[in-house]
Amino acid sequence: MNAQQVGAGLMRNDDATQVNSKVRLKASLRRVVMILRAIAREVFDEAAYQRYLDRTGCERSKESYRSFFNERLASLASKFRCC
Amino acid sequence: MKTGKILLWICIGILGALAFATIALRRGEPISAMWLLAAAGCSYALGYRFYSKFLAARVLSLDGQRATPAERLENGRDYMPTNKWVVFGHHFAAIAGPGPLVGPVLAAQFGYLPGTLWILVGAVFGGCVQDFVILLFSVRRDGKSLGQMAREEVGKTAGTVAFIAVLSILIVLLAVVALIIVNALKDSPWGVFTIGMTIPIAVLMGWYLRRLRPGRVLEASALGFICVLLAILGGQWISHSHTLAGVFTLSATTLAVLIIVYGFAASALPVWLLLAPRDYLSTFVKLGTVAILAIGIILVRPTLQMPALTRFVDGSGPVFAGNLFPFAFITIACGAISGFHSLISSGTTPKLIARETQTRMVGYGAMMAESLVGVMAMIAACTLQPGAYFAVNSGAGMVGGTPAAAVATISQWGFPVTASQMSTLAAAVGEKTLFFRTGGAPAFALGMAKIFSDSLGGATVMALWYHFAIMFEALFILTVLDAGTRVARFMLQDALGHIWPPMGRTSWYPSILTTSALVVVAWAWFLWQGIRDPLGGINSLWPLFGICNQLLATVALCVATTILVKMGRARYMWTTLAPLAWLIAVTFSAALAKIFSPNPLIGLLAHARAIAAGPATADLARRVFNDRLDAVVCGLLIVLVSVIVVESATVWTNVITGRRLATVVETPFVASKMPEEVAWP
Repeated sequence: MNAQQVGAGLMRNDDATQVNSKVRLKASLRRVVMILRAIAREVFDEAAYQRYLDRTGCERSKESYRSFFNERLASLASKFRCC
Repeated sequence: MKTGKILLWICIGILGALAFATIALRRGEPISAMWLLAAAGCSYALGYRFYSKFLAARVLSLDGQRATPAERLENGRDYMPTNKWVVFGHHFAAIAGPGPLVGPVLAAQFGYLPGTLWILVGAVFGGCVQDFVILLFSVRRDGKSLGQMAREEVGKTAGTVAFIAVLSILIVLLAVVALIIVNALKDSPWGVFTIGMTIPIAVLMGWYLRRLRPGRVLEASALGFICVLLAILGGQWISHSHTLAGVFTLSATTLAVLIIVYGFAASALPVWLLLAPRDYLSTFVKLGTVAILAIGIILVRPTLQMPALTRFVDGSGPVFAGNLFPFAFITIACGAISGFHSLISSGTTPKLIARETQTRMVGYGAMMAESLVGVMAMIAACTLQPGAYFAVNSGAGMVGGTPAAAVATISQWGFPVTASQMSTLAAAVGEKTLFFRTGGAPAFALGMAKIFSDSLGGATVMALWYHFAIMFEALFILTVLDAGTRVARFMLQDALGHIWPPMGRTSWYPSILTTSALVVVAWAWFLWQGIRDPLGGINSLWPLFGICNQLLATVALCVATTILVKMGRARYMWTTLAPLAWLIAVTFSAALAKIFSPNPLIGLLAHARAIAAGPATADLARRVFNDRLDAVVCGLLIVLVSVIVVESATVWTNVITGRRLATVVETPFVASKMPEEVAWP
């Protein structure tokens, strides 16, 4: 293998490393966004409503949201908010 | 540990020590706020890596194989194994409130040093420990509340005391937060309009969620946020209108009446109409603003104008009277240690924890994030010129009834400020005056507006940032007010239900109206007293609130120590006993000073005597009665907490000496069937 071939091989390796790190970075960012989205959905009770829909087999509607809300009423109304 | 990691932690330790040395030893020249952030970052990193790991491994023996209630009792409603980061965010959103913003701003009267040290040391060795252990003990007891744990592990009296302590803290808390709003909004048409508009905005969100787009909470919150921004702009227009400005310029007493009526309505109205949408909106604004503030501080890297220590460590401060010890430690509660957190750590959070090992990150970690908010509030307050800080935060009774008298008094203390400087500052933020705006919220808003306007938009938008900050705090506070009134109502209904069962029915309207009225009258009484107090109200009420909050932390740490001893971990009981001993020293000293100090600015009884000996006024008898009643409330609280401390100490002694069998009332071990990490998302 001559020097030129070795150099080309190294460049290909560098490119591959760059592509790998880009993919890893993208995946990490995607994960962060997913975490933030999931936190927001949990904090704002959207995830709880989705679980309710899954559990009861209902469709998203005024009626199902009302009954979800009524079910959650006690825990919502007695939820502490810190000073 | 590998050599690289050891070196990294040594570097963090050295940087932390350097930051602490800089903030503690630098005198006479302003320092950058980044030193405070560096000290905070290093303390949290070391505290989390080493101390919380020690607690997790040695003291509590967290067991990743033990099934949590979220796994065993999963029902898709309250009990639900959830990703640890999601639980962390959920828990942080619940524990973060106006407390860590207001307390450090008030304590800044001693200088930035005492408050910052207390926030950092208090959080790492006290607040984080309390939140962590109470969360874990609740997880091991199927998510039981603090009161239930106190009853089962310490004794029946302890359970009753915990109940009374929680109710008392709620009442005093509601009065204090209402007073902060009144002081921030009095004579401010811009603020009144903006905050007033948040009520129809919340109702609109309720309608949107219930009728238009059911369950789309994030969408509704984003819509609400945009409406709030428009309300801020509308407030500016109102404040410049000759006719409308007068309509929205309200006195403290009018505002107090409106807030009392609002509190009652919010407690009695359906949850979906006002309480839930406001809670969503408040959380949305809260998380966003805290993040923006952190970014703003890092971008601007402001210089602290306040000295490290001021002359007011001797107790003669105009913001609130009282010596550095114990009053700095009860003034800053939520940023360092807050009893209120133990209610949340034994509330919704334990029912979401998927693995016991995650309690470390959620309990200890979220409190560190809360503590960082406290440090940021301290930075915001200390970036103001000290003269302006004292002119805003001092009551008229402390510095003189007129702006001229106030600037003369404050300048004489060595913090130069002029009436024209204050007028310019007021004009820059769109207010007529900023004198005597006690309570901490306006001073925090000023500091925050300064940081924001330095990083985004310049001086031209300072008024918008100021009112954004006021709106943000008031929104927080109103959420606490309506949620707190409702929670107190539920507790009262529950207690009265034992005496007359129909009162315990939470949906029976006579019961709702009676208990709502009782709760509102209780906090309204303290609020009214604060409004009429010529010393600013906050002077007497904030310390009372701080005492209540820290007494609740005392109850939580008593429960935690008792459980540790009964678990056979008496040799590690110092981990909760040390913060408990400190809190007992602080709260009892503060409470005794509030009752018996001969200084009328501190002691309630001395104040009553001074008023009685002074010139006769129409409300003399009422003011004397108020002071004496406050003293009785304070005394009653320390007697109640003494009972729980003594009862707990008796249990510890009996268990350690072998006179009592050490048995804990926790759920038996069940092996977890969950994979190592909850499937994501």
